[in-house]
Amino acid sequence: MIRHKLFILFLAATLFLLPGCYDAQEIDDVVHITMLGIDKGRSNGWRLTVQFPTLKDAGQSGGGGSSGNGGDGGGGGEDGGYSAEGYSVVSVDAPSLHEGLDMLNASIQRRANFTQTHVIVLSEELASTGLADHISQIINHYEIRRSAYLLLAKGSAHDFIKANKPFIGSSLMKNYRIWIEQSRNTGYFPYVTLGAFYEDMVSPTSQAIMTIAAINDFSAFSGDGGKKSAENTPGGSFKAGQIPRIGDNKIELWGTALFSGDTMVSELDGDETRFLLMLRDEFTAGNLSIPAAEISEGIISLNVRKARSTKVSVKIIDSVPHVRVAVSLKGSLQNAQTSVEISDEAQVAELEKTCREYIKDRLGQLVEKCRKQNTDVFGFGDAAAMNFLTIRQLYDYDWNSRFKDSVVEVDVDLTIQHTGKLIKS
Amino acid sequence: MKDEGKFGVQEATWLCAITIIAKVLFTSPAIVTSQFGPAAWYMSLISVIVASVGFAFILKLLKRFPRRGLPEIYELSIGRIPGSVFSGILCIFLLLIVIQNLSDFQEALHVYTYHNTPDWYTILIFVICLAILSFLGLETIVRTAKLFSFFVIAGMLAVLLLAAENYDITNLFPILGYDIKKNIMHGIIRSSAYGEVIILAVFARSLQGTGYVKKAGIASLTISGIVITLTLLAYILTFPFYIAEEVTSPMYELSQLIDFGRFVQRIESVFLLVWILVTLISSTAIFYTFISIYCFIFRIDDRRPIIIAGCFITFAGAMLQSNVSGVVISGVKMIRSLGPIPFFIMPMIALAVSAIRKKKEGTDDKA
Repeated sequence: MIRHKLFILFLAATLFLLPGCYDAQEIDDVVHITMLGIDKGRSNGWRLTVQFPTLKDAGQSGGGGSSGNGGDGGGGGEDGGYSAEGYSVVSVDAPSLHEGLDMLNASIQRRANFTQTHVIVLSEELASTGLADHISQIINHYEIRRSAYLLLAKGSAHDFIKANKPFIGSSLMKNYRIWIEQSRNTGYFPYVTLGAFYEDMVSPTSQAIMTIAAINDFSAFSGDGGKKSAENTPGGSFKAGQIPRIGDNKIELWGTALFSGDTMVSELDGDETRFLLMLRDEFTAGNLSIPAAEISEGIISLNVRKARSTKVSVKIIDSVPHVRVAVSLKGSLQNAQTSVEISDEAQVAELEKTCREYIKDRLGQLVEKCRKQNTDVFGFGDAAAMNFLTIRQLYDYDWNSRFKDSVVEVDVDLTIQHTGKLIKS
Repeated sequence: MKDEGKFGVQEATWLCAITIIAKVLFTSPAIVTSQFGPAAWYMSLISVIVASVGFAFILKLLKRFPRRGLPEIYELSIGRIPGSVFSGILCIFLLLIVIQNLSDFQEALHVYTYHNTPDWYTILIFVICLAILSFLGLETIVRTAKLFSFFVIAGMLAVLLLAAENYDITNLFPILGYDIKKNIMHGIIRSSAYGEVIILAVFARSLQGTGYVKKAGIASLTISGIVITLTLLAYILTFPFYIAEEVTSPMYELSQLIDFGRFVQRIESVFLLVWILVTLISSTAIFYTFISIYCFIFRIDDRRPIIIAGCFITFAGAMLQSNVSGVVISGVKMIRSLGPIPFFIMPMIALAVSAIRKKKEGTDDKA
């Protein structure tokens, strides 16, 4: 009996060993980094910038956060400040990611924790010289997830993060999530995670892309005194940071950076990004403005949605890749019914043809642009892998260097299925 | 051999299946992918087929000596000293597997969750659990295995299903991986991944007949074959081969990728529980088999001192693994490549010798 009691006592005692006290973290001891920015350092290799909640009410936070530049610390939402709306920003120059994070801990007053880091921002300068080392270090960090979103900041990541304030509500984390998921509603920027970028960066059969983030100085918004453009310009034709708009929020996600290996080679505007997403089978929906001389407004306003998955087939004939892509879309006409008679089947068929040919043409132009830069950001090479029986054959073929020689044929299937709320006006 | 108590086919099946499945949670899938590329998932089927053939020979041997455990059969078929040498080799090999499992588990735990916890602390707590379960005996171990089997299988299938949004069919190509001939050869050698089915033969006395061993063996190989193949398939569908070979714990990474909006994400902590349960059951089963064989070889009745000593050796062995390359490259590869010898070749030799020497102990009605 005594032995049983001793045994139970021993079991009970082992419970004290189980809570894992070495890794226990009091909630007050850590600060969750919401956004991590990386630039080329000036006094060292890496410039790290982190944004984190100051754990105060938004109203109290002005000047209360960690200050990176003395007098600027009390920004309280002012431009140039390092604290705003319950969030603060700290930057440090360091020789590596991991040491930099240790250095940050010296000024944050809490242990920086990256398990809740939703967004990682890399600077354009860094991307133009190669990201391999940076991405490898980030992906190897035990707290950072492959599912974190990856952004490429025009200018510096530091400036972008500093300009980023809670715009709607008070939770930046929630804002990031909802914001980036807008990719699925508009198609103006892709949805790229750290894991996806890394896979494409080291892939023998495809190249990587990244969402472009930029600060808009509102200079493109000409205001009341500005000249009105003679004709409508498609909204997607702008590049990141140049959208003609004005408002409280200075930052925007727009367009796509194209990579060859770990180096940025080119940039796509909003519309090109949509066409890229169609070819990658990542496009969900978006409103497209299609130039059309036959209707009075001069533009067909079409809400385009994916009808079926994009089909890609690749055949290698005489060592030349022949790619066939079939994009399947459905549209809803948004134009005023005064300009389009939807009960006239012939007119609708004509509109469908115009839209189809426009999209096909733009897809072709995009493929040509990427082909000239020899960067297969469409994932055609992944489909081409079916042509090879062994990995050795795949590597010997060297898809990434052969993409420029490929013959790509794009087919678009588009049906106008819906109209707006008015069928006659 | 000491009577270990009685248990049924279901309990034996789950004990054996969980013991085999455990390795898919560690670094093994990364190593398999580095050897086979996208072909890893179906090479696992080759391994399970070869293991089934090996198990058929073990059954044949058991049928010649009904109601006897494998260590006894070795002695009866090839003589006391050679038999003890065979049992000793198996015994040492099982100890190496426990040490390997523990090191692998500790390393993955360190990488993904417990970064500040010292290695000795994690291993020590695990070894204490190992000792407690071993003290309670085989019946307790098999019932624990059956009790948790539902949670283990449900947890693993949930991860595979929830991760489905990340699957990409093009990752399965090039379909033959690195080289078909090499693949088949490695697939045969890697049959040792299913070698823990030998536990059933060691405790054949507790299973009340060769017929029951056969049923439990086939069921556990089928279950573990399906689970391991599906897991490897899911892993390869998620990560292209050039990424798959560099991930420390593929299943854990897979669970980290599960993301259905703001409400269903970051659920790997649930998977962590499954991971710990599987490792505990698996390590205990193998450790207890090691203790049981050791005690039989040296005719030791009181196992408790041996369990304590075994725990010290296991703890020291796991602590000796200096780094992840030691754990991943040396340990796992060595165990997989040498595994067929103690698991399948030695029973085949014993069967051949017993047939030549016409050693047989009647027939088993239930076989």
